[in-house]
Formats: sequence, structure tokens, C-alpha cells
Amino acid sequence: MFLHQDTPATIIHRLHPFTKMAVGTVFSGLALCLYRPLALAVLLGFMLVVLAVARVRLSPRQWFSIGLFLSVISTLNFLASHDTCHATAYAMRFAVFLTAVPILALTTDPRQMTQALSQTPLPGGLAMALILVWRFFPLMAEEARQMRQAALLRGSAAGGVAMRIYRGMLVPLAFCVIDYTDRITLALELRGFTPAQRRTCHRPLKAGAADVVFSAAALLAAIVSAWVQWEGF
Amino acid sequence: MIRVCGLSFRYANQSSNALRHVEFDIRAGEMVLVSGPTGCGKSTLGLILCRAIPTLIPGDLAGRVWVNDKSIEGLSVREMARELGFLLQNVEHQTFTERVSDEIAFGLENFCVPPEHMATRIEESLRLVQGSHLLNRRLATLSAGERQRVMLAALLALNQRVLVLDEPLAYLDLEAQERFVTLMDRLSKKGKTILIFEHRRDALQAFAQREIYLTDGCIRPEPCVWSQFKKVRDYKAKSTVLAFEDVSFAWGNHKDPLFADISFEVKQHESVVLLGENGSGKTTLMHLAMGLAKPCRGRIITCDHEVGRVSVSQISRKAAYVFQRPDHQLYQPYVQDEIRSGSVDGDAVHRELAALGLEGLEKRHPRSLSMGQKRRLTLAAALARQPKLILLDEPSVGQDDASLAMIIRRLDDFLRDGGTLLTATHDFRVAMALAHRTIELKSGGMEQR
Amino acid sequence: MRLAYWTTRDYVFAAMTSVALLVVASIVIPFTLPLSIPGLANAVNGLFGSFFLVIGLIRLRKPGSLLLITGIYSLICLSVSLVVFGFVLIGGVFSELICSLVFRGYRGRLAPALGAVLYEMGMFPAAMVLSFFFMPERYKDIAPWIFVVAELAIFTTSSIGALAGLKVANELSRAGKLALES
Repeated sequence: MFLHQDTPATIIHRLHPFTKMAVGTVFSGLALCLYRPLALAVLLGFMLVVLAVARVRLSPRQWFSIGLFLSVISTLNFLASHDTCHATAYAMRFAVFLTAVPILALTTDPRQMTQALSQTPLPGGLAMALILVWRFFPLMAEEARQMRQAALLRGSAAGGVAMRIYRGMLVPLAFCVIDYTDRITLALELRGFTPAQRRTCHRPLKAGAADVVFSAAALLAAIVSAWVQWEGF
Repeated sequence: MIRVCGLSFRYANQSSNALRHVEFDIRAGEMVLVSGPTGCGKSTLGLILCRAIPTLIPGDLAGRVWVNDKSIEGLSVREMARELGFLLQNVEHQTFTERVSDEIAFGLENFCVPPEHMATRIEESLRLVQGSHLLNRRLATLSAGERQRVMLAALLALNQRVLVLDEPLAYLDLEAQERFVTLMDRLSKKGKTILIFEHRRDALQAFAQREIYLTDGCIRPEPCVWSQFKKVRDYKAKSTVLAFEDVSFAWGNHKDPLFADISFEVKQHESVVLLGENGSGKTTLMHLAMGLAKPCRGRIITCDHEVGRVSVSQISRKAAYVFQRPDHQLYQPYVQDEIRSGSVDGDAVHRELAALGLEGLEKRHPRSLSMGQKRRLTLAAALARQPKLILLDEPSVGQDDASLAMIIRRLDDFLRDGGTLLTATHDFRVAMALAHRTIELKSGGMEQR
Repeated sequence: MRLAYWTTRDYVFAAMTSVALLVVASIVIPFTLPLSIPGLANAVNGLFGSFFLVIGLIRLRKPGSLLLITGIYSLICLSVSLVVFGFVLIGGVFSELICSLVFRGYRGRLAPALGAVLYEMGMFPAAMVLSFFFMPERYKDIAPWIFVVAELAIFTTSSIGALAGLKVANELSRAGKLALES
């Protein structure tokens, strides 16, 4: 069950978090302004190349789920607008949102994010809070999955749908929040963390040549996309 | 090194003391086992030593504590952490980074250790725990035992003279437990003062120089170690209750199966114990039996239902699955309601509470109980439904010897009354007591004995 | 040493509340978003969001608590969408301003409940304005009364969620997990 081979960090993993964040945010914002499918395809193509370089692999089932989701929203949009181009663009815009900034989350480890955030005026506690969300979201999501399993096992003894959601999911999740808070607070303080205290840095983050190249490539993709939207074809 | 005088503590909103006038001295370099039944005050003592009580957890604290000849009164948890390293039970909630080297560096960064000194300290601490090969690994790829070693290295890197470990054996398989105990022995011989808070006295008594045994918040003479429990009786096995036929299973993204072509049967009145290292598939096998996961190949029949052809709730009408983590299965506001909901007769509440040492807790909120009590409560709720089959995942975690004996006696009655049991456990004594037969999951296959 | 306004525990609690909001949103939103009905996702999410927010506000109590939780949540949403980041932050600022001016914190029961409901209600107009700005063709044919109905639905569901949160806060207190004011 345990992987004994680490996935090697790619050039995308080594980029400065702010570089990835900036590109993702700009692409998300630009996607909102584009309505030609081809223009959106340029942005989406760039993001898919980045995902491939980062060796982010999705299972066939995950690809199928994403495809199904995009098909559903595209179909619903078509039924509302009766415009194939509009519906396709709508789905592609979603696809850009699904890839643009989440790449940051998938290819940035919490330590890099803490360091990057500590270079901003954000309070240390807030930077740590963001790290904790990234770090513990998968754990709590797994706990929620187990709560749903426990609710399934209880069957009708758990009551109707509303009671199953309330007692079977919301109440346990509320307790989970408190339990996690107590344990993580203690763990942080036992390791010497205090929000107001200065910290040194094991491996300082530096933007390098890779960041420049990546930003330039992203800028080029954005320019091409904008040209396709407003000038070309 | 550690001196405790007249230590008493009562949690806010509780009527009785968790600790009463505790006094002891621990010399430098000693390895001491702190044990006792569930609810005896071990964890409370640990939390006082690291200053979580009273800085994070309010209550009435009396008495004095000295560590390294200095009173700890008025110190924050962070200030105390310079002298005393505390390893919590669940390592998962103590890691904040992705890589081993970064995780060890996290504490060094918090204490403003100059970056140029960090690499040496990281390497040295990993060498001490025989984990140098883990330096550049991602934490998510490590086993439970390896992660624990990394967290120990993180404490050792801070050069704290005292180490306190809370239930370090709880989630380790046998091999990892042996490695851990040997490591603690070695660190103690190097001069570290070590306190281990643990139920598993059998695993640690031979190595600890001393034992402090707590009962009801007081230090008492330690009883003998239970090297074994009374075995469940043999009953005449009848019809098949659980059958796996050529079952294979692999996780979604993996090419190699977790296990392949597993076949076995469990009959009525039988108790079968599942053995295997962490990650061998014991919990997954139980999920498959209840229909919570789907096999890649093969057929599973649980209580006359073919899994996959009926819903999970239909299977759970006849089979009960007691999770490793009891919190997920507690959903009522009162202990008595947990047992009453789903029980088939009116006497179930009192009967099961009495059988599992939970009397007097009827009106308590289930989440206010200790981990051991919660685990017994989920078992009580399962027994109250009078299922044909119970699947038990690691019933011994958080249980002291007396509680374990109680659980085994109750399960013996369950078997006598026509029940069937499949238990996954790392605790060898529990396995010996419960097993009519064992199934060991190993290298993708199984061995029956 | 000057005492910090927010302790480690406050930051961690706000972070874990954001995680719970994220977990619930990740379950609920895939079902509601494809339907493209204005306010539906907000109404359904509001039921659960206000539940956790109320508990968070009862625990933290200080002025700025709502903004701390929603600020963290909005920064996380930035990694999903700029529009979502925008309306979550605006909803948080709006409700924090009102509650800080009127109640000066979140003591008692009314302030946390009102704060949670105002946050959910404040997000929807912000979401509509931002979405209209970026995707005008999506909303130009929708009658205004639909937005009023949507806001009423959000008020209803978030009020139910807030009341449920108050009830569970009592239960947390009985379990010894949350200290309520007497």
C-alpha cells in the first residue's frame, strides 16, 4: 500500500509559488473575459501542458468524472442559450478554472507556501492557517468519507435523510473541527511555533530562471489567446 | 531531572480530580513507563509536564513540578518545549510539511536555529533513529513506523533532554513495535530521560528501568503484567457466515494488487483473527466484506448476501463493523442512545454497559469519553443489534489489560450465543485469546493457521 | 511581551473551520452548480456554511472573528476561482462591519447567528455583481424577481443552518469541547 518510490519534483514543483499563483490568477481572470472556444483552448492547452510537465496523473475514472461534469454544464448551457459556441466556451472556461489555479495546490508543498507568504505583510499566524488548510483538508475529507460510510452502515437506524445529514455528517464534522484544533494547536506549540514569533528558514525560496521562462511562456499563451479572441480567425 | 510534588488537577466542569497528590522523582537518563487503566490520569500528567495544562486546557492545578532543576510554573508550551519533547499519539496531526528534511527543520525554524546549523542537526537526528535513508522522502509515502521515527528525529534535533511519548505503540505493527522499543533503549543509554505513557506494559516493562502505575489519579503499586488473556472457548462451527471466493483487490491508481485470489470461509460460532503488517489490507478486507469497497475480481458472501448485489445497509442489518476509530460511529447525544438506537431488545442498554465496564455513563455525551471507553461503546452498540457477524478492527487500541479481558469475555458470550467474529489486531495477546483460526495477509496473499 | 490578539489556537480553529466549509462545499457544489439556477448553490451551501460559522464565532467571540474565518476561506478559494475569492471576501467584510458596529464582537447567541446569516446573504449579491461583470450574457435575460426569491431562499436556509449550529454548540459544550458563556 505504501509507495516506496517518490515522484521526483519537476521544474513546475520548483517554481516560486507566487509565479504559479500569478499565472493561475491571470489565466482565471482572462478566461472570464474570453468567449471564443478557440481562445479558451489556447489557455487550456497551456495548462494541460503544465500538468503534463508536472507529471500530475489523473486516473481514467477522474478523467471520466471531469468529462461528465463539463458535458453536463455544457448541455445545460446549450439548453438555455441554444448556442453551441456559447455552450462550448462555457464548459471550456470551467475547464480553465479547474486547471489554472489548482495547479498551484497540486505542485506546491506547504513549506514553500509558508515561506512565500512569510515574505508578504501577512501575519505569521495567517500564513500558518493557510498551510494548515492545505495540509489538513485531505485528512478531514477522508474523515468525512468515513462518516458517510458509518452512516451507510447505520442504515435506517440513523433516521430520515435530514437526520442522517445532521447527525451523521454535520455533528461529527463539528466535533472533528474541535478535535483537530486541540491536537494541531498542541502539536504546533510543542514544536515551538507562535504566531507572533520570528522564524528562520531552512531552504529560502528564490525565483530563478525557470520562473522567468515559465512566466514568459504563460504571457505568450495569454497574448495568443487574446489575439484569437479579438483579432484573429 | 523531573521532580513532581503534590500534583493534583481537576478539569474545568468536572467534579472529581483527574490527578490526586502525585509525587515522584525521575533521574537523568532513566526510561520510565507510566501506565494505568483508561481514565487513570496518564494523559493528564503528560499534558501537565508539557504545560498544555494549564496554558491550553483550563482547570484547577495544584502542586509543583521541576524539570532540569527549574520550576515549570509560568512557562508557556513553547518555552517548555526547549527542555521537554513531547510526541503525541497520532503522528498524522503533528506533521506540517511534505518532506522529511523539511519536517525536522520545522521545529528548528520555530526556535530560530541559524540555517547553516540545520543540515547537520537534521542528518544527526535521523542517524540516531536509523532513518538516514529517509532524508529526502515524502512523508505521505512512509509507513506509520517510519513516520514515527521521523517525528522522533524532529524532537531529537531540538536537543531536548527529556522525551515524553504518548502511546507510541498504538498504531504500530509487531515489527515496528520491536524496532521502536530497541530505539528507546538505545536513546536512554545515551543519556536521554524518557517517559513513555503506554497501556502495553507487556511490550515495555522489560526495557523500562521503572514503572509508575496510576489508578484513579493516584500512584499505586503496579500489578503483574498480563502475558495472556483467557482464551475464548471452542464451539462447534456451523453454517458459513462469511465467504471470500478468489477475491482480488487493487487501489484505483495502482498496477499491483493489494491482495490476489484470497479465499476463505468463516463459520457460525467461529472467531478468526486477521494478522498482517500495516498496509497489508486487513481493514480493506473488512471494507470488502461490508460492501464499502468493490473487489476487482471474485465473490464475497456476507450473511447470505452477495456483496455488490445488495445495499450496504442490507448487509449491515445482519453484520456489524466496528471501526478502528470509534469517533466516526458515535452520533447520538447520550451514551444510552448510542446503544438503544438499533438495539433489538429493551434490556440491551444496561446489559451491554455492564458487560463492557461502562455503567454510570448512560447520560454522558459519547464524545466526552476516553478513547478506550468510546471503543467499548461502539462495540456495545454493535452487540446490542445482535448481529450474526461482527468485524472488529483493532479492538485493543486504548484499552488497558482489565478492559481487554472484559471485551474478550463479552465476545466469548457472543460466540456462544451463535455469533461469528472476524478481528484485525496487532496485539499478539488478543490474537492468541480470540483466535480459533488466524489468517495472515502477506505479500499480496494469505496464510491460514 | 505584548500579547497577540489572535492566539495559535484561534488561527488553528479558524483554519479548521475553513477546512470544514471546504469539505462541505466540495460535496455540495458539484450537485448544484451544473443547474445554473441563480442562488441555488448559495442557498444549499448557506445551510451548511452558516452551521459551521456559528460554531466558529461562538468559539472565537472577538471582533474580527468572522473576517478571520472568511478571510482564510477566501484566500483558499483564490486557488479555485477569482470570482469566488471576491464574493466570499466581500460577504465576510460586509457582515463583519455590521456585527462589529452593532454588537462589537460575537458574544451571546444573536451576534454569531446574525453574523453567519448576513455573511451568506452578503455573498450572493456580490457573486451576482462579479459574475455579471465578467459574464454579462449569462444573466441579462433573468428577471429581477428571481434574485429576490434567491436571496429569500438563502436567508431561510442560512437561518436554519445557524439555528442548528447553536444547538450543536450546546452539545459541544455538554461534551466538554466548547466553553459557552454562562
